[in-house]
Amino acid sequence: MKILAVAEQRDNRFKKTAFEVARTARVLADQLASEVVGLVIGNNTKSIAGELGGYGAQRVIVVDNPRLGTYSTTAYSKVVSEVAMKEQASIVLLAATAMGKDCAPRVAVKLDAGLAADCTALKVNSGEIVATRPVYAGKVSTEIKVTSPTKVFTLRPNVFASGTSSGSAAAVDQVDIELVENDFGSTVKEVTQSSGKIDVAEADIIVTGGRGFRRSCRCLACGCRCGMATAR
Amino acid sequence: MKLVACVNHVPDTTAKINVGPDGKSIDKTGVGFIINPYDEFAVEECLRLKERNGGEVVVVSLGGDTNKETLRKALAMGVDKAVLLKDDSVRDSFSVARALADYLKELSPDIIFFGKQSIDGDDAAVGSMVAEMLELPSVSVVVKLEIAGGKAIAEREIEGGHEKVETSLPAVFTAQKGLNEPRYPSLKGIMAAKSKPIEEKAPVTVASKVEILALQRPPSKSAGKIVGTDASAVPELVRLLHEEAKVI
Repeated sequence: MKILAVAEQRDNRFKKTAFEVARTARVLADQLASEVVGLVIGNNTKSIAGELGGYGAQRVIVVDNPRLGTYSTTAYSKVVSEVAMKEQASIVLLAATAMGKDCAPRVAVKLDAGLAADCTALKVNSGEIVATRPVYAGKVSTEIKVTSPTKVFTLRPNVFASGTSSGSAAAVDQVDIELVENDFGSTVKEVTQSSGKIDVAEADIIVTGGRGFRRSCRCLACGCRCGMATAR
Repeated sequence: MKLVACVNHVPDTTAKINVGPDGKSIDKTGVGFIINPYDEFAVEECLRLKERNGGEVVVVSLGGDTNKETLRKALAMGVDKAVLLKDDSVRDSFSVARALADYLKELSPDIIFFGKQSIDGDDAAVGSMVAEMLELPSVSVVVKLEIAGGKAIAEREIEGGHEKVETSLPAVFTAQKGLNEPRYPSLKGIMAAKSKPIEEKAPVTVASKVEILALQRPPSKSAGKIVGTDASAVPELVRLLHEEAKVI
């Protein structure tokens, strides 16, 4: 059995979530006697692909195409599902990032698969994956299982441990997926970063406080020698 | 333009949610229900697009009779037509999407708007699934939308910034807070909505692909520690974060 771990990269650097997804795939694979295959999509990403080996991927598939350098919902969904089908992966893991949450539902439909979204825990019970996820705005949590033969899970960022890299490099396979004009129905034309602000999702630790905390917040940030993301 | 907004009828954001006796669903006793807040942005955006470009706004909901309350709210806001796909069985996102896509295919809309997620299931999946089933492009978590010459430029939220996405039409969009300020229905609108028809149709049924095993309250959090009340407490807080909590 194969688990496809979709590893998100931006500007040819893996996001933290890429390692969380690879490691989680490895943990599941060890309990389900499966192989972990990583997937990296982009342009000129071959040089970083092997890094996933340190987090548990045995092989990494790279789909490189100048047009995939920027995200396209329809093109990325097609690539993920075609690779999943080629590899006959029965489990597809993505991070529940903006990108993952955007394409996972389309991937699920293409693979005729159930989707367990924004999971906060995955465990194996008698050979079956049971996912925990928050519902009703986190007021309750639910345990679910995906009953279709192919299963798609998105993992909440910063919840699953990535662990540290073992340093081993995975074998990298470059695969061509045929993409036509129609596959680029929606394309990103421009990306703007919120100026001066840190991407909270990439932070190691997040400290939050109520409104009364605002004045102390800058002192705390100085005291801890860390960045301050936002004060609303 | 033919504009469709899909809406869900969900527990009020302030409702206290308790697990029901079957351990797999919520106890609805005393729970007030409202239009899914994200869907309200979808309805509002459709109304604005109609005001700018002409056309018709149809609102669709899948659920039981009680969903009519939410459809009436949308009618009161000014939509032209409301449709209830009547079925109150428990469905996963895939099954909901299949029922909606099956109906929407008949309508052939130019734009289909969803809320980014329904605040009961929080899957954030139905809109994108419907798009895939209808083989349409989609943009999720939209905070701004411009339509010109058969194309749309949608601005969506991503980590630490925004993406501007160009898409051909017809297309599916899912609305995020900030897209617009939904109008309050006028008294005239509310009164008129009471007598506007709601078309009922039987949705297609497909099996769910996700099974709920259990619903649980999250574990209660332990009490916090008050270190001080102003900036002078910061050195002690830093010391505790470093030496006791060991997080820095």
